[in-house]
Amino acid sequence: MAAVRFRGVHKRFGLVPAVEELDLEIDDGEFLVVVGPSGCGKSTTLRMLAGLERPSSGLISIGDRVVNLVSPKSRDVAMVFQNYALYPHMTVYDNLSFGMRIRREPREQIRRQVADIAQQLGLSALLDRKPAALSGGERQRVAVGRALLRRPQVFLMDEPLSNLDATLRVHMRGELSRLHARVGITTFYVTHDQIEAMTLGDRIAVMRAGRLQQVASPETLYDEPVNMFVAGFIGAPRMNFLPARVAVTHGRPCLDSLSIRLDGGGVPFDPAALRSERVVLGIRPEDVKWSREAPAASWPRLRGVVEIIEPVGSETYVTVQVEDAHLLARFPPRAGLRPGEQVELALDQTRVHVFDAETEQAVPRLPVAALAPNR
Amino acid sequence: MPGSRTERVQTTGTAPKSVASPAPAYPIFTLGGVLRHVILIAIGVAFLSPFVWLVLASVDAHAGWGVRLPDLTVDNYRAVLSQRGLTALKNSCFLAFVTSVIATGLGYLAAYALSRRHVPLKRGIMLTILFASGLPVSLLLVPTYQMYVAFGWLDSLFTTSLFLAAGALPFAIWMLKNFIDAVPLELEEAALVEGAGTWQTLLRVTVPLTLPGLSVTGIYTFIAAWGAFIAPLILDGNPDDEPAPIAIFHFMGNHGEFLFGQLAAYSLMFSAPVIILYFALSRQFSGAFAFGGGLKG
Repeated sequence: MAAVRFRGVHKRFGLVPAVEELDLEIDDGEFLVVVGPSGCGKSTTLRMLAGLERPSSGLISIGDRVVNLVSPKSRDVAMVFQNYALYPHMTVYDNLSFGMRIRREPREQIRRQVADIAQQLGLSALLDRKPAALSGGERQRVAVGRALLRRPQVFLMDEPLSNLDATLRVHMRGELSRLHARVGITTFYVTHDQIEAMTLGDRIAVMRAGRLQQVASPETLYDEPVNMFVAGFIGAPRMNFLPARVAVTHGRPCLDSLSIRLDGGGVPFDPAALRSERVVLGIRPEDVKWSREAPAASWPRLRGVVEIIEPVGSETYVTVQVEDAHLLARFPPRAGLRPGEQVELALDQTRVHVFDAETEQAVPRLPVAALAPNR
Repeated sequence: MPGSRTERVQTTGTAPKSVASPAPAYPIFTLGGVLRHVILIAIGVAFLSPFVWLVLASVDAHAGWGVRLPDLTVDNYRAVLSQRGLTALKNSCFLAFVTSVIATGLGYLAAYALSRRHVPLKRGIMLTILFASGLPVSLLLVPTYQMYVAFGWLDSLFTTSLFLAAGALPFAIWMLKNFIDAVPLELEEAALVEGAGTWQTLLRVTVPLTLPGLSVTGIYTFIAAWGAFIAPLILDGNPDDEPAPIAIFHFMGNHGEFLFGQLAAYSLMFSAPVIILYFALSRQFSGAFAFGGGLKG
């Protein structure tokens, strides 16, 4: 096992930048998930770590060794491909043992280890089959088993679950989590699915258009996104964004948005960090409640018309049109609403995020202590 | 009502217009239908009759110009299987085999590089190769002859097969590149990450997955060299090196008369490997592209 480090890594394809100025460290044994939309450079980053692409500049190290010029076969990494990349002309046994046979390990040892891994992954009965005769989940397990048999310093996974159906994906997610807990190998996992990222990662790196946006634990990423992109990308359903203006009342800054003024509990941002009075207010659907359910009377209220009702069982997501904005709110299940109905919403203003409207960067929050006297 | 259904099908042939929908697209027993079939059969006979002649004449003791019932004999075969005829077949085998191995082997390496590596002006190179694969090889014979004179390469089956291989190479490259292109790059990348070098990846992953392409190209170049006539005629004047196509040529009026029976017998033997290989080829084509299961879910 080893730590991984990217220092000032750039990658350009011709003139097109794919990854820009990447500084990223993965601790020994850590499960790091890189997440972002298609074309954000996350797969390129993984392929650079695997040695399948060479960085245009910057340094990549695995352990103490700079690997920029090291060929993939000498990097001691194992990779699970999105489409599994099983060798179609080989049986499961031959697929699993390919790397060991390449490294000329003793036959008896190969047989023992393959049998061991096959048993752990429930593949023992399938060893004589060719990949074409396997189901998607079985192929995926063969791909993981092949990587495990490599006993690598670093595990690389490129969207390994994206070709599975929903049920199997959830199942394999749990399997991967358990597997990592057991073998503890440094893992670099790429996905575009933020739920996969949140559930699997010790830390999550969010990328966009070749640039790293934020690296943090799932909770931090969710509670303290550094910009509107991260705020919108992490969390499902997506965070609401509302245009807002900063005003001053009684010598204290407050936010005007739609028909409400957020000031009472103290909107948690640092007025000193504001650069313009135009801001964007972000609030997650679970912090927008039905007024009947609001725990405090002090929560600002908004009236609107129910547009869309999406029951998901344990809760109901309701899109409410407020003036010309559409707010997604989390309602209790079986709320008994109908489209077109008038409804009153309440906002938890302590959970509001404030972003600069121009730079889309988060406006830093005040330390909690500074808010306390106003509560 | 199964009965009425059968009846309708039976009447379809004789009176197609009286039946509504399921009339066959090309009814046989109408004036137009009969005419069509007579013409088509005439064309078929025109194409088939040379083959019929070939088979019949080869076992006819007094074969002549026409197709006729043979006076059965195996003397024609016995005669052509003399020393000279056998040697010529052996020479053709050598020529075709060496040409095929060299063209396919070199072609594979070139095609692999063109398929997988960054090659400057790749498109231009591929178009040139496509163009070259359509050029008749005989265009190059005169300058090649002079080259061979300078190298002292004349009168050797091996150097002649080098020339044939060079001629077959553009086609082989073009063909093989398409097969290699079809192998997903991830399979090679997986092998590289697992610790295989370039050659190991090539031999253990890419080659097994392109075996259909390799055999198709191998067979095709074999057949092309098998039928080569003008190049061996010019580059190899050694009578002991005479390949089968030239031997056939000698049956035709070499001694002032046509030995029809022997010509037919030898021609049949000459085409047998080609026919066998074509069957093998068609099987390869139908069984090709077995990438199923390697990728995707």
